[in-house]
Amino acid sequence: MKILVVEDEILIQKSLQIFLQKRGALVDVSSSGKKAIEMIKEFNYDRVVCDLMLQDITGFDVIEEAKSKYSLEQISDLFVIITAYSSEQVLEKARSYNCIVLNKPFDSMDKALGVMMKSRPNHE
Amino acid sequence: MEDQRNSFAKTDDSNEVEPQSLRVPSGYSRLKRELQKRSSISGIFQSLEARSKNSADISEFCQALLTLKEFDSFKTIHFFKHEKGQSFAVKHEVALDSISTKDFHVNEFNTLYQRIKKSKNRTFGQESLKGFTFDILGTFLAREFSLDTHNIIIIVSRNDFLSQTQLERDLFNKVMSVVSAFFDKILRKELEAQQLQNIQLALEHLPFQVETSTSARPEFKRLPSDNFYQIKTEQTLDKADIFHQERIALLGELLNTLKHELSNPLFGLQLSAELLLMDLDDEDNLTFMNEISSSIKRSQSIIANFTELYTSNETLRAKDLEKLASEVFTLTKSESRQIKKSFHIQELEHEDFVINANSVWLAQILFNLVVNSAQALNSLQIPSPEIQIKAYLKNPVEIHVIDNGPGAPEEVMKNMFSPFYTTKEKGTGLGLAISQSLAKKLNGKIDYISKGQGAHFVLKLDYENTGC
Repeated sequence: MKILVVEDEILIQKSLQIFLQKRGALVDVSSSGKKAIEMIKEFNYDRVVCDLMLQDITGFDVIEEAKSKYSLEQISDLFVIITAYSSEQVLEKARSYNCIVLNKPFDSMDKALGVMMKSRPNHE
Repeated sequence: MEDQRNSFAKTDDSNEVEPQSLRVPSGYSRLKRELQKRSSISGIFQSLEARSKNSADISEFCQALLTLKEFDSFKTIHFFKHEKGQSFAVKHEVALDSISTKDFHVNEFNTLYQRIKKSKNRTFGQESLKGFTFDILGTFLAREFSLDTHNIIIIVSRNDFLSQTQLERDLFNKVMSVVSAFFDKILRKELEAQQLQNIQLALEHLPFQVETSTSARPEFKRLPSDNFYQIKTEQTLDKADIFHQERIALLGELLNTLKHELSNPLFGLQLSAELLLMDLDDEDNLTFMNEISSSIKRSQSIIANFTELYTSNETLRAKDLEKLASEVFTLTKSESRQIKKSFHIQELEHEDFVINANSVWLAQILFNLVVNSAQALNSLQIPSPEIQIKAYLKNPVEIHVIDNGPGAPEEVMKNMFSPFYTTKEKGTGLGLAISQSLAKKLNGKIDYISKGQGAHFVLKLDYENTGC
């Protein structure tokens, strides 16, 4: 399984990378949203774990760019949004992509890693 | 012989400041030296300064100019001023025994200003005023100035038709070379007085009263009296309320920002600590890492609790109240570190008892009371200090805050709820006043109980209260 972690908080980024590697995933990382877009277009990831508040652009911009390569349905499977800003507007926008949204800090580390590692069983 | 005399004259004249005086006739030279003696610049400056101090406004100053010995031969001064940016100018016509002031058309002012500016010797005859709406008898000298705040024109006249002598022109120019600074000063003062008058007028006509505290706004020092617009106590409370509401709103915003800004890096710390814990096998390092990890978790839970506190709903059960009290104790930690604090529910009418109260206001009230007690206990260094919160969940609800300090003397008791009353060196005197007004909003009130030792406050809330 190949995962891209887009997160600019370096400690979160590196830790997630190692946690996911320990569970057997191949993990690429990016602190920059723009670089992440290039990587998504160039490589085929099974999952993109994406923060919303990046330094250069937002996670939503990354998702919008991914539309040029993936269908809406593929996008809802591909992206897992992680965010510390869980305001109603943000959540609503995230839901509009039908992606899984995880709040930082995670309630359960185990479950969160599980969600990132698994392909989604079905849509609600 | 001739030659010698000439050379004497030369050496003599070479001591002059201006070398061109070599070429002027000796009679004029003498006159000029005389003139310099009589009215050296510094002499003029001093007499102008004395006159400016005794003048209330610019027209009085012009009148005083006529008493200068340099202006001996002049009878009237026409002074024109145009405050930059205004659509009108003003003309003062000044003689030794009269002053008249009129509005003056700004276009006319500008035409006159340009004409004087272009003139070389500043000497004019009556005919040069053709087309203007005012008249000056005979010949006159004029000068224009552009100051920071105003453009001005000054015209001096002898009221006769004889043309000015060179001496008169020189004296006029000499005075003009130093007078502009005084015009500037007096006109600024006039402007300031005008602005002050406007402020006063505005203050008098405001729909509410304001306090013109000179400590907060130094410009109020210029107002006629410190407590000219003193406010009433009732209104002070409203003002304090507004400040309080603003502070609460700000606090909410601040907490939100803090939550967002802190939770991300804290989460990074949490993840990496967990990761390191999995790999460490050295005992000491493991202990350290465990401590780090639990500190991070504590920080995270403080942030989470705060957010909960400030968004929690308005019906409080016994356990909510307990939580609220513990948050208040956390909030006052910096003041109450050494103090033993406790919360007890003394009476619970029934299990499902709820208080309808705005938790933020309630927390604020308890916060103020606890901080007050803590500061008193600390400053008096009371041995084994203690603060208790006791809740009686019945009708009416009573929440007591009690400490084991000396309590409040009678004098303080009488005034403690008044705004701006404080016994603390750096107190604002608003803590209890705000608490009381919040209690009122919750349809309750705070009383001070003077029985027994220590300070003892009780907040009483109606069971049915719908204060929010």
